[in-house]
Amino acid sequence: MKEEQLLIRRARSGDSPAFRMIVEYHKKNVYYFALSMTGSHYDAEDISQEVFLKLYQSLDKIRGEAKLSTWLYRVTVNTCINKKRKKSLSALKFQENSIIDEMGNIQNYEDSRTGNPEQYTELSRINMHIEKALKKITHKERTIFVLRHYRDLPLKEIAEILNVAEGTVKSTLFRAIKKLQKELSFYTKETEMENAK
Amino acid sequence: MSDCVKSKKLFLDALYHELNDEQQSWFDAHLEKCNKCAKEFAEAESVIKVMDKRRLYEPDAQYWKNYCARLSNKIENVSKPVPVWKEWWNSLVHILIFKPKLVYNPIAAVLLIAVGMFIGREFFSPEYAVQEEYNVPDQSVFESRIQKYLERSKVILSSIVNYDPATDDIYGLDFSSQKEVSRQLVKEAQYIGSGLLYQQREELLELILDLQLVLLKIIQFENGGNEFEIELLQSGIKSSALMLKINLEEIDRITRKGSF
Repeated sequence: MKEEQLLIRRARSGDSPAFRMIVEYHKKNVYYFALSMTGSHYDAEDISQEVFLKLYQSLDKIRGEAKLSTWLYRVTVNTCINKKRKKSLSALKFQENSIIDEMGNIQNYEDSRTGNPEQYTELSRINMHIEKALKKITHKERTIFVLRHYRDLPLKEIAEILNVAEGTVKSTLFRAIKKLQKELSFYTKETEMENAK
Repeated sequence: MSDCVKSKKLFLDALYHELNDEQQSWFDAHLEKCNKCAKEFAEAESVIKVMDKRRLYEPDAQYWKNYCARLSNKIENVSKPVPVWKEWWNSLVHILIFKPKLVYNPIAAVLLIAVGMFIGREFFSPEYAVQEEYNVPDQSVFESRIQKYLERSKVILSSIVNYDPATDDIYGLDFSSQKEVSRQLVKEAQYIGSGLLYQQREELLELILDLQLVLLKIIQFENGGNEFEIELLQSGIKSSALMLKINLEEIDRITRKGSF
């Protein structure tokens, strides 16, 4: 934490290598969080770069009371919301296209590992349904679920990022799981049957 | 506390294997006794397992290697100063294309007020009308209403100017109370504006009309307001130095009071 504050202070005074070190340290966290939120590599790239651009422009405002990662996650959440608004404003259907693009990538990725066409078709099908289910829950529910499930953050830190009470995070996460369960009931029953065996 | 309520409290931590040994053994024992909780937990566990199957794109090493270089380019582009007129022009074009209502509605409202003022001045006796409505001889009441109007407008403007989209909670973006107050202030501005016109206090009248334009824009916010509308208004307030004008007017009023 002390080292981080020192880096921020150096970056604030115009030390480019210090800023680069900050980016190097946090880039994967921000990118993968944005990717888990949007499901699209292209959006995640745009969002994560925009977040670091905002960091660069806000270096003077960062006081170092909270962890930098908390600030970055918070700005990523806001940037994801703005990106979604801008998309709906320009009436482009990136979301649907991005799923297709990402599916293409996933298929290649799985194909190269398994070499089993049936398996990757099945995985792609599940993946598509998961993406659709995640898009059906509210943005807040998705944010909390992604931070807990895919970024493995404790509920207390999620509450800090979203500036809400821990109880709110718990109830929202619970609701998100219930909704996902409804959306993915076909697969959950399959899993339950597998477990019963 | 019933056992089921207690198990609900431990539910999420159990789902993510974060209970301590004691809690875990209590939770397991409860699930063995309670079919309802056991079923609910099994269902949630199965959703988590399905969600674990999600596969996301993995960028290669080259992508990460060039990440900072791409960011540097963006920072360089943004650092180049953009002329203010160009920013304004881009915003105007954007609004005209995507949100024409935001432009045409306030213009229509201002035109309507201007036409009303013109008709009032040209075709009716202004002295008689204003005197009767505003009770001009009671100057102190009129002045205190102006003072109150400026103070309330300042609070509204401050809430817009101080909003920082980078750090403020975007879920809490709700300007409904500001919209309501703006509606009241626009009504009040009509009264004050006519009074100032009658007294020929042109500078203050100009400030009131500028404020009215901003307040009308706040009333026009879609739903609770969105970041783009707020940013546009922030730049409008900044460029017309509205906060500064209000502050100067207030200082002037205090000085005048002191000299009496």
